[in-house]
Amino acid sequence: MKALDALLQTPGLWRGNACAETAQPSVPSGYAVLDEQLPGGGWPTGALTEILLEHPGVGELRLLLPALARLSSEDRWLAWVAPPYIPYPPALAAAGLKMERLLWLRPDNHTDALWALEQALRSGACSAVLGWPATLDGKALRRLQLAAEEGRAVSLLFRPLRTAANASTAALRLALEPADGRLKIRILKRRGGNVSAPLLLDLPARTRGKNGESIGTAQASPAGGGMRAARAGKLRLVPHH
Amino acid sequence: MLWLALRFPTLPLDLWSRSAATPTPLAVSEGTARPRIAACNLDASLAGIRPGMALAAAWAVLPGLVVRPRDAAAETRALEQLAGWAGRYTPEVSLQTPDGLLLQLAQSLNLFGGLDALLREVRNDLAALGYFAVAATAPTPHGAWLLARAGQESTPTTAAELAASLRTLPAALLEQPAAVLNLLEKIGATTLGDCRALPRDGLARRAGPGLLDELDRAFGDKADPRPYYAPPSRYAARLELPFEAEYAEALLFAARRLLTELAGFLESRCAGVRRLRLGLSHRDGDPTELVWGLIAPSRDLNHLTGLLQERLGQLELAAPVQAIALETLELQTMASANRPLFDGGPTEEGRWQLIERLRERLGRHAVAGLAPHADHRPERAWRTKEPSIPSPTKGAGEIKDSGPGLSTRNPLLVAGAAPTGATPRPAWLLPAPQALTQTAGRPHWQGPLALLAGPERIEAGWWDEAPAARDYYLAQTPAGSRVWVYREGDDWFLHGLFA
Repeated sequence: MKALDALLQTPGLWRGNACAETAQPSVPSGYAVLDEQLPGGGWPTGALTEILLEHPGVGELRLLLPALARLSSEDRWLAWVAPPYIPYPPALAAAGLKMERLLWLRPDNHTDALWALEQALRSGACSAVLGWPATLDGKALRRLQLAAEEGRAVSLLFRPLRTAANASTAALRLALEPADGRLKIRILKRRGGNVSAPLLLDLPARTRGKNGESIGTAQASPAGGGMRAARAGKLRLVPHH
Repeated sequence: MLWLALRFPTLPLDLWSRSAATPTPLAVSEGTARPRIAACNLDASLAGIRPGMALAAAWAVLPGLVVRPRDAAAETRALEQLAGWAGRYTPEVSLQTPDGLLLQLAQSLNLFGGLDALLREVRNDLAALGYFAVAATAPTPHGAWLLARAGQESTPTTAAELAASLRTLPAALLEQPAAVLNLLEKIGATTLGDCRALPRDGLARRAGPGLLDELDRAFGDKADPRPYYAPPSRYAARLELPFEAEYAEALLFAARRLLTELAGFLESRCAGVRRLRLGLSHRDGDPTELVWGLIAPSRDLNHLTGLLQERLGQLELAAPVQAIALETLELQTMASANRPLFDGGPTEEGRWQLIERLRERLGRHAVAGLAPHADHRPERAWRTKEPSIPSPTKGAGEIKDSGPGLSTRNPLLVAGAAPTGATPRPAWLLPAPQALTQTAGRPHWQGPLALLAGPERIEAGWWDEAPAARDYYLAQTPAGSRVWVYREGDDWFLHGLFA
């Protein structure tokens, strides 16, 4: 191992993982229309993404579940730090998320929540870190951004819509609003791109159904589940009926 | 053969000073009736303290001088602890009492990336342990030792280089009785080279066989087998603090000295620690005891330090601490290298380290895994569990999530079947159903709700104490969010959000 270390320090040596690291790979969201708008074609890793919403429950998890399900095939944690409600296992499992990857963190107070968020982001042991900080000042945000750069996870912060006016170091900022069973997404900030027109996404009521039946107007996603489809890069939005 | 000699000339002092984060004038005294300064640190000597001074005189010069009695037994224990640490470099470690270690390194060089890299690591370790050492290497153990005693940090590798280095050393370094050293001085043999030039027969006759034997062993003319130190099966060490510590954070510095030693010990045994105890001794009363249980064995110095740091940061000391003791309660064999081949993904160890770090601060129950559970009642269709990631290398199957209580609780359900099969479930579940206001029989939440689909009748729990008969609906708020509500009798409740 020591000999290998010495070898790896040789300046002339090309390392297979070096180029992937600089490119900061992103994780396809599972929604082609959205991926087209995201730099790198998906959720960035190693940088903060802010999801701004008025209340929890507008569709933020269904937006993320295809990517989270895909990431759950890695042997790293999906850390949920101080979520507002219980991440409901029957629904998440039905969306193809491997539940044993999920880490549910319930800190007692805001300070501990920020600390836990930073630890999870920095550790490199998480493929995704989802955080619901009560408040976040510019200094805390910069700390989290540095931690995110170190840990290379998909790093998602859920914050109130009113913080949209504040400056942010996040690489990507999305504002989400419900729109009659669909999800309106405004991209407030992205690297190397201007603000675009709002997107309207149809969210599946569930990404993977056992018997195909569904209720309401929403429909199950293409057969085979969001995960496999996302990996093949073929997932298309479900047309709205 | 390649031998590394480590000589600890300031061992009596280092015993005390290594546990203090900031240097202060410190001396060690010898003798009980009329104690004298045996050794002092740099801060003391800058203030005018010299070895050999009477203690009373020293205090007159520097009233604030901290003086500790010399403790030969503690020095031997420290040397043995050092031998345990040195086991991380080679299993062939020999004690050179009272103040040295000899390490046979020939088989370790490749592993550590050559002699220079290895010596660098030894130096870093020693600095972290808080010991000062003179290090010299040579093809013979005694040759290396004499070089270290002379303070020459040279690294001769061949017999000829060794002989050249040794010849210039003063004869007074030889470990011979005073009479023999006097004799050598009288006949004008001031260096080892002079001694080697004398006729062997005459030298043996006048100085006895011991002198020739020592010279021959040093120059490699005679075999010099050494007994190797056998480390104990567990690690236990105690560190006296030069001053009483009143804050737990101040203990971390001293604790890290011991953890560094422990890490070397664990590496030499190819083991990791599962349970660890730190004892804090007070002047009166029982020591404070802290015990850590680790999910996975570890010998990662930074991880172990982090765990101690979290706990010590929360600790309120009942009384000042005079000494700390670190002890392993449970060890487990661990693969020797956990380094990832390329620094890509995290190691299995790294994943557990995150859990342990989080738990150390947030508490055990604040860090949990989640799993579906086979129960018709939505609030019981999940449970927390121990975080677990099946190791991909073992090719093990998925962890069975539905707990063992299933079959005894509800014979009608098959694991995972009913609760997730029928209709979509919301991704957010409220910790407890929230009663909703109504107007004209319509439930309200962020405005009047429109029922989109349902009802799904859920009747369950008639076999135990918490029966439920509810009609669940998918509903939509005026703003367009979708929620999961149910009616029980005439009352409406919000139970989840389709996030």
